[in-house]
Amino acid sequence: MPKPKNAPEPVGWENELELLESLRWGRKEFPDRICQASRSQEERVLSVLRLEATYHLAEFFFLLRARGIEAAEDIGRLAELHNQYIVDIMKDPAKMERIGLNSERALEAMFTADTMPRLLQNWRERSGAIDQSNLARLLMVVMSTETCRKLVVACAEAGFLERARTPYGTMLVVSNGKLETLFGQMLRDLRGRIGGRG
Amino acid sequence: MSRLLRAKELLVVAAAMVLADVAQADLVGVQASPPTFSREESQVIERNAALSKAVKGDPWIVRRLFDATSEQPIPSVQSVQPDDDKQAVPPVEELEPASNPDLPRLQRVSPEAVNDLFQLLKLAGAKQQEKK
Repeated sequence: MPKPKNAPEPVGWENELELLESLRWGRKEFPDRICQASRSQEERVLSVLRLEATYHLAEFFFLLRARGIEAAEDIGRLAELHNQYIVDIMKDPAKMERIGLNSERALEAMFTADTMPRLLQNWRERSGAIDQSNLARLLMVVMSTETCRKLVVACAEAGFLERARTPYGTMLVVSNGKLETLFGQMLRDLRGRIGGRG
Repeated sequence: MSRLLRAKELLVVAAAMVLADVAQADLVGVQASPPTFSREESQVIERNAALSKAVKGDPWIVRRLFDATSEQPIPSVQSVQPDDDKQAVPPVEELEPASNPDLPRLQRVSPEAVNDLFQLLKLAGAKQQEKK
């Protein structure tokens, strides 16, 4: 129920505490849900699903879907924005330090004349299909290449992602939508909890 | 918090050294007697398999890492995966969270970086909507 416009603000922090509690609930709830939905209940898989990095991976896939990044030109645009972002932050050593990035890693994460065409081609052939290494590039600021690989392997075992080696030796990754749905539903439930208070 | 950050960098570097077999790298002088570690340092070593392995192979490398990170941050060393996931280099050893309990917890990403990625995706989506 929306608050009346002229309603006085509470003196204490009750609303904020309720908001904080809901946010905490959301961060706890997501790993619980994906572990429950996981096709594998082996602890070595679940322990990776519970990592904070898995949350970031899920958020990334959710945002691709929610933002309508579907066609090859969409992912191409994202890659170009990503490249420009890297160029910009490399001019800002303080920012590089803050986000824990070094020049070598930043340069490796840029899409080049070699890797950009492959990114677009894979996506063109099947929307959402992306090389594991290109996925790691896009997620460069939030996780290492090795962490990305580890998450993808675990999420594949959990039944959220498909992994397939191509004839070119690359590892193609495609989401089947379960991760995005779980993440989106968690957000929706979180909104419900927050909206129902105060 | 700074101790945790130092431990984080130490773990990343030590793990990378174990994985890349850099434990045989040249040392500055050869030490005859084994190094000593504080109780806190020993606890960090015990909790993390990568460090435990490194200290057994060459304890002075671990000592140098602790000393170096106490002075200044060590840039994080990422494992290098070939671009096409081809196994042209030896496979990277898995760092299991269960046996390296501090590693995942300490590998927290910067909130600024998370927000930057969110904004990039928002921008990419917004331009896509404009065209429709």
